[in-house]
Amino acid sequence: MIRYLIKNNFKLMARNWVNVFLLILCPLLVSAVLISAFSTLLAKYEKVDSFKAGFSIEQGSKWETAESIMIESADKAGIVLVKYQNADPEQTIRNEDLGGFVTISDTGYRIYRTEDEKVKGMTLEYFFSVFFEQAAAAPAGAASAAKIALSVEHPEFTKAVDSKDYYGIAFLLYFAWCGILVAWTLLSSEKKIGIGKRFIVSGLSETQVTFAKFIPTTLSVFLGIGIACILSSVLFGVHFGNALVIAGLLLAMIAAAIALGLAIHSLTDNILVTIISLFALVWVMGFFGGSFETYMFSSHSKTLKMLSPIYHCNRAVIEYSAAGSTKFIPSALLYCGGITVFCLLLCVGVNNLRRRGRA
Amino acid sequence: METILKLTDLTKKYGNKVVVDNLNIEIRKGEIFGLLGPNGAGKSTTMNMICNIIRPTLGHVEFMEKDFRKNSRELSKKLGYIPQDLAIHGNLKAWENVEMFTSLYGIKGAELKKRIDESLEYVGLLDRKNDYAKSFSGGMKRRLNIACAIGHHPDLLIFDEPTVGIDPQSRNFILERIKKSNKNGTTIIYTSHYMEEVEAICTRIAIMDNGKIIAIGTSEELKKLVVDDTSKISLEEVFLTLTGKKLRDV
Amino acid sequence: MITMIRSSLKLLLRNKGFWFFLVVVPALSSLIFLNWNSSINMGSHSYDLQREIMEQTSITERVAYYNSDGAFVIKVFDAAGSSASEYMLNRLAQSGLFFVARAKTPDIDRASVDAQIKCDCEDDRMGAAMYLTKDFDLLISEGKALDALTLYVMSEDSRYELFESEVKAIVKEIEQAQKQVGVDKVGEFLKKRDESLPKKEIKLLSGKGKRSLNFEQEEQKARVGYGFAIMTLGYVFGGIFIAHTIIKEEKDKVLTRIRLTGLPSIRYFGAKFVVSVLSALAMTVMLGLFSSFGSVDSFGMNRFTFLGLMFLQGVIFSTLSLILGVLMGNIGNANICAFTVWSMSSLLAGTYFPLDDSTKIVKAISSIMPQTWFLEATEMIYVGDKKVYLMLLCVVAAYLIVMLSIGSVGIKLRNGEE
Repeated sequence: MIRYLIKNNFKLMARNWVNVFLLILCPLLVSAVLISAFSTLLAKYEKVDSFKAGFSIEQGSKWETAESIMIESADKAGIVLVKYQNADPEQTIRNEDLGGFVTISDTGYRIYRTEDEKVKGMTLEYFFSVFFEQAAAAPAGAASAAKIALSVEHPEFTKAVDSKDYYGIAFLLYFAWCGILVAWTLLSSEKKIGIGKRFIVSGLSETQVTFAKFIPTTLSVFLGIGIACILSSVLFGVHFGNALVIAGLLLAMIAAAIALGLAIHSLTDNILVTIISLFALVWVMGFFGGSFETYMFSSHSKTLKMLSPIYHCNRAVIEYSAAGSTKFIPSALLYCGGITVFCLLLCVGVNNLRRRGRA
Repeated sequence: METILKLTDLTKKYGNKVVVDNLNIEIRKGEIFGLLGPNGAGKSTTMNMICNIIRPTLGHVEFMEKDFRKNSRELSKKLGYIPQDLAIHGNLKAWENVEMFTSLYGIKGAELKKRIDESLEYVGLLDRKNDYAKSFSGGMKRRLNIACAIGHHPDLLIFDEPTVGIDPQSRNFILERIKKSNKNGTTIIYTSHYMEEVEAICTRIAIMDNGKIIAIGTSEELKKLVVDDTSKISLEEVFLTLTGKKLRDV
Repeated sequence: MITMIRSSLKLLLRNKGFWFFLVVVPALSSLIFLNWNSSINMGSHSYDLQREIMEQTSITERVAYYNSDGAFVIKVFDAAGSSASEYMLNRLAQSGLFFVARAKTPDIDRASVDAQIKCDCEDDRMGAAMYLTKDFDLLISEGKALDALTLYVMSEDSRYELFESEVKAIVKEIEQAQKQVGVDKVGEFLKKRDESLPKKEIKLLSGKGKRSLNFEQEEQKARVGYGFAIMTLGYVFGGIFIAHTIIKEEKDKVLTRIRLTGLPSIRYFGAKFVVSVLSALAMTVMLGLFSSFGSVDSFGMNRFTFLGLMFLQGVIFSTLSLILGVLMGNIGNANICAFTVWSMSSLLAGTYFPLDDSTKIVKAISSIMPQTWFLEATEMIYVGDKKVYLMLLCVVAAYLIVMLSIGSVGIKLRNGEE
């Protein structure tokens, strides 16, 4: 009975260009920005290639005699030390495009580092720390240190996810949670132009009316986000795991999101209030769930994170995609399933009460 | 003649305001029953109660000798409602709109396709079936509105001001179609502000004011209430005489 | 035109949605930027500023955020608490490559450490972890380094090898020092020895084309950025509500009635533009009211300068959303458009987080966003650059000219289609 209603509702949503923009273009654009912005924060350490650094030694300093050893050791560590005696370190760094600059005197040494070349600066600083320490330590020290045996454990850690995979996935999921927006026309026309009256007159039950909105909206959002996933994989190289598993997770999550939106709409009976409330709720869930600040780095309490369904979904999809396995798939499915069932029941119940008040 | 619809002590109150006051009407099978009244008389509320869109405060509606509210699932299939609002989706094609609403009555497959074409042909839109409803003129939208309500071949059709804001040709077309439906055995309830329409097609007319029926009968019978020589008076004059010329600012 | 402005203002003030954005958004903006917690940003500055061990209050405290500067983070479970272990950890912290976060836990045993490591593997991020046993000094002196400490490999970071070799070198030095001065005095001995080493000094230079802001100014700028981001929402919807009135007037043929009076379109839209400026002014005043509860230190500039920045930004956004709304011609789509403008512009302008490390394309798109220029202006105000006011006026004028031109062309095209 509602098969054709579902079909036509789906057509209505698919024919609205705004939905294409919301479900496909927006998440891709936002992901692109965030991938770019957080690339260094989430970057796996990449060993820096050989780079140039400048140095100067105070005239008459005892370290002048160690100059050649210093240059040779630095070369082994991938640092090409170039002498710029009497040069201004700050100007020289900028003019010669150096990774850093060191000025050495008898009392100490000063390392000039720039914000643009953090890794090179750290490498330079470490080199000189070790160089001067080894100079003070016993000559045989380095060789015998290598013989010391230490207890080393290799626990199973969650592999680091780079920003491309993290934000490429997290923002698709975030937009999916706002998916009820695609049903805007459907929900507003029911009230405004009397489509709802036709449903009542035809004897359709509230359960049927609810499912006639829930199913096509879920499918529309799933299709849109699915296309966005494919595009993000092609355009940005985002890794997704097994397609069936990811599709299943997405479907469960989108079903929960749409059910939640419909439940809020049934309570408020106003599309604008529904959207504002839902956006606010999703924002809070995303805030604690790692949609903005990664869940790895956020300092929110674990309890708050665990309460957010987006946290479970993010961890399930992101970790499964990046590492091939995760413990969060059951919890994500359970949470989303629970939300779907509860919200649909609430929606049907409230709408029935409302109808009984009228009819 | 057999009674198809019976309203017994039908009342609707919103707080202290009585919108429909103790209505008792019997509509016979096969007639075109007109319901006239000024703004705020309670016509739309009465229509909504008949269609089970709103619940009466008192009284009940009997449709085909069965309580409508208790048997709404079964009886809804025999009722068609053409609302005053254009309850159609602009972003769906004409045939898609008809398919959507006709399928709600359990019609599917090949039978549904047949009914879609029938309905569109009936309202003169078959050649425009693949066009989007938003591209239609006002008159065409009204006709499509009708097509969406007749696909399941109801026994009773309720028209709530179906000719508002359309050109005379479209209006004439709709009225002809209503008469044709009636000839095929469909009972019609028709509400409108256009007196000449009501006079032209309705077999019986009820005039409603302040929630009550103040007069009911054929056009001739209503005219006779006011003057002896019925040729000298129009239905509009009868209406104004019975309801008064004072403005109704609801 | 005065009558048009007055009636448009009445329509706007009768909209409950507008009151929500007029009152709630400035309040929320003030609340957030006055109470914004800087601790979340500590990680990005602390490494560059200190070479000290970061003390953790408990073993469950997370160290993930210290990763932000590319440092190799080491979480230490220190049951030893001896001068030798202290020396080792300080050596690692001062090397320039490692960030040491230490939890002093004298009674902790290996099993508890292993259990915490298991949690950290899932919920935390670090380069490596280290457990120093209670009998660290004694075991080292007996040549039992294997039992004295345990290293945990917690990432695929190739710098782990450097860490392990550095730890071995330090253990060897401790061993040798113990032979010379005994177990208890190792720490002092090695410290004294290191005093003869050249003193290290780090000087951090700002990047190319960047201004040097101190830590407090960076914090204030971040606060102002959040304030911009949230207030933009109010300004955008202020403009959209005015656009709603135009859409409704068009739909209900009120606009036709107005045009028939002979009023030129330019005066009609001019009146709407004036109302959008007034709505931006009203929201800025509300912001001024709510933010007066906080100190000027929160945004690091004169209060009126801050409100002036907000107002100018508000003029741009309310005009932009007004024009977009009119071009959409549909309330639903106009609302979606408004929300998209808000979220995308704030994101791309770097108000939530800096885009310094973004690609050139993102930076280029960012420069189109108005907030980018206002954040730039904020920096200029902090460093005392007087050219900021002229820059702002030019920026606002440029945006308004472009928007109004595009808007009038768009409206002409739309009317032409009809």
